[in-house]
Amino acid sequence: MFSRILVKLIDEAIVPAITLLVVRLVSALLVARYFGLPFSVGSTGFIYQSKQDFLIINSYSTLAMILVLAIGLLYVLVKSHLFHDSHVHPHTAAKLHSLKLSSFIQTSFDLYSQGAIWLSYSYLLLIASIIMVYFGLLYSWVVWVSVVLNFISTYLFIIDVEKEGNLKKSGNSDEDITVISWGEDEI
Amino acid sequence: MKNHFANLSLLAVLLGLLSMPILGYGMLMSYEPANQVLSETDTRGDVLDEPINYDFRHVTIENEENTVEDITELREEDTFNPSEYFPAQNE
Repeated sequence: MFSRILVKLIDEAIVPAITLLVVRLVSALLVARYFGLPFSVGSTGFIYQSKQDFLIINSYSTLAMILVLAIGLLYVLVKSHLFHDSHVHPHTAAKLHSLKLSSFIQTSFDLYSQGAIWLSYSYLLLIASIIMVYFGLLYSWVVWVSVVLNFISTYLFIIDVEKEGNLKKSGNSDEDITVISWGEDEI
Repeated sequence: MKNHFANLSLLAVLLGLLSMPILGYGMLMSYEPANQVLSETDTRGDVLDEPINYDFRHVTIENEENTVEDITELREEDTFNPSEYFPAQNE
């Protein structure tokens, strides 16, 4: 019997992996075109004519990957904070149902597996960026952008996990959770 | 036991997927400096068309013992005979 968590993680990892690779390729082409930097395509991929060209394209291409990771993380974080089935606002839930967008409301298992995958990519990219800066293949400001993204997204993710943990600790059902979380609501 | 192997293989797949963009990322790009064009006066690496004529006129002999006469004597004593080395040409 396969582990349910591992199968879910693999399922969630495929789309970001392909997206990041495509972004890398497209951004490398676009940046080279924008800066007018010559390159050739060989068996090892894109070959640039100088280290300076490589530095420029690598930096902006990495930045594009960081931006895509930021969009992915933002999507997961918005879902986990606003459309998490354990603490979704009743008005939001009703509205989503009326718009036939109830699929936006997801379970903790779905949201956390997505968050874990996107965060893993983000941290792996940060590690790779640090190594490249060490070897002079990347501008150092790119690493700082990545650090800020990782810091904010990890913090927001932890807040949601903590909120979920507190709700679980109180041992209430979904209906009761609504009353506790939004005490000001007249429900 | 079978479960463990199955899950370990799943974990390997997951790690492969996670590292794919990062490893592929490094392998996609490289740089190869083209033959650098140096300045016109820089002839390093060039094949010379003509032999170099060394000009020692600017060289001064600082050693007092070695005067111009001494050097002339040394030249006269030079017993280098090309025929010893290139007999075929002399014949």
